[in-house]
Amino acid sequence: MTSAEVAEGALSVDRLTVTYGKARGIDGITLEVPSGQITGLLGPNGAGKTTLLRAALDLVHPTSGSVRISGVDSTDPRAREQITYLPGDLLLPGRLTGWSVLRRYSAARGGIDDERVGELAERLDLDLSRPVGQLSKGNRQKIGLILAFAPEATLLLLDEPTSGLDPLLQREFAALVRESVSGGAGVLLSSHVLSELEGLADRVAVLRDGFLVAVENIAELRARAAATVRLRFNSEKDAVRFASSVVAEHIDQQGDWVSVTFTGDVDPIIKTAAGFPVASIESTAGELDDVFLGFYTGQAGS
Amino acid sequence: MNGGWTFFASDMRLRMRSLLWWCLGIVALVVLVDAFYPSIAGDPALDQMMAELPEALRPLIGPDDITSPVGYLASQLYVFFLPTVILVFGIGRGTSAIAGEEEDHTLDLLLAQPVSRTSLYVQKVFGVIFGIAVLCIVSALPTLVLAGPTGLDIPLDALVSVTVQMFAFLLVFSLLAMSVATAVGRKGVGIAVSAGLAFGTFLIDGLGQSIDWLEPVRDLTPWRWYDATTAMNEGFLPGSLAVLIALSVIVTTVGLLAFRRRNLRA
Repeated sequence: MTSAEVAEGALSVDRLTVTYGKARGIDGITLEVPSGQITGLLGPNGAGKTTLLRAALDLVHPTSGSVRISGVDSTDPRAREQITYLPGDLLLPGRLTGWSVLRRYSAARGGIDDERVGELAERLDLDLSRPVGQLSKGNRQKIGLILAFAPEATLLLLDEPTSGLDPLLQREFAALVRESVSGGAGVLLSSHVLSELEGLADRVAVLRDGFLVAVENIAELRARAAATVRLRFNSEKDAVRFASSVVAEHIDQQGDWVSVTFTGDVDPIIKTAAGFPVASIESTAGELDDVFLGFYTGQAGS
Repeated sequence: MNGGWTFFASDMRLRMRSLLWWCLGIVALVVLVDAFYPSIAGDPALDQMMAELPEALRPLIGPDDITSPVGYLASQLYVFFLPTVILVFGIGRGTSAIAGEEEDHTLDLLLAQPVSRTSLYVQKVFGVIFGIAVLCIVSALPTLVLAGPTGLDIPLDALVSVTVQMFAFLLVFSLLAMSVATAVGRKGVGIAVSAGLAFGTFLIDGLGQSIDWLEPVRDLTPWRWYDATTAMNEGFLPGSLAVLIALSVIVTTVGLLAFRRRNLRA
């Protein structure tokens, strides 16, 4: 995994503040979305995720600070030649067919590659000749996916993309994201639930009340999350002796079972257990959710 | 300009069917009005009735001689009825062009493309102008074709002149509606402001023709510069036309500046 500091990001947000009217949108955010990586944008509703994405599209203007897309300022329309966008709540003119919708929303970037569209439609099992007003919500969302993934882009802005997608489609979506990234694009993927980002994002930026409260590498976070190992010993006596000699955050001994909650390396626990007759062992991975809940409640897990 | 005329073309396709229905409606309406002319032509009782109307109300209807071809067309169509009907279209198109898309949440996707707001706005303005132009041209055709059978044989340049005046007049209120709606991001505000001003200034212009203290205020109303009856009697009115076009340019520019500065609603 590449480091978080990359010289030329697909998206560079520099001390960006957006206020509208009296309401604060986002406040002093600095964030880099590197090429070839998936950056998750996590936060509860109203934290400023959508505002940040829309600032990159110049739908809202910076009150101060700046946004650059591959070096081009967001206020320059050419910046959007590089971007594709999947809005969180995708609404389309219902009378138009899928094909007409795709043409309408790609006309100003010089059209859309019919062959690529056909390929994606087949993959997503979507009929583009029907009026979109007659499609189910999931099928309409597929048109959004085609708009996001058909053009060649260096930056994909995906706002809550998997809401409303069935599990099969979520998997196809994840595959599409990974393909774009392996093609060198940078992806910014917003969500209010961590599980949507967990298997996909390399890094996660956490927003709260318009502030960026953390940017974390998922792999490092996972290591930091408290995991649990449960061990059963041949006798209660062994269990008690093990429980008194192991070092961990939390140790709970009941009968011949001991459950050990720890952060960091599992190795010292295994080494300790090796001195006793172990009957069985089971382990539970750390809950990233708990780590992230810490960010929201202000007790960042570092 | 970024993206060329792609939005203009795309909007044309999207709205062509509704424009065709409007064309049919306008034709039917003008045919109906024209068809009534033979039954009242030269009936002195109607002119008598007009003469007996209170002085203040007369200008609201049009010229005094409503039984002549020009008088009939002016009073029954051009002074109020036809521009008002087409204005319904113009205000609708103007406010839905951008504000409507914003309310429907489809504006984001349009502007997520590499196109400037100025380019989008200008293309949308030309879409509105195009629709109004089509309806104005179409509205003149029945009178032209039916001149023989109905006896409404007015000079061609009178018909052209009043149609051009009406077109320029309609642009003012349609683009005002578009401008206001786009500046605030709400269709309803544009409709209310424009329709309210159109109706209010119509009364001021009409009553101002006979009420002395209102007379100076007339110059502020677009109706005064539309001047359908004079356009039909005297032909092309370059001065009035220039005023109407200037007004359209001003309201359109103000709307564009406001649109460029705004944060769009999600």
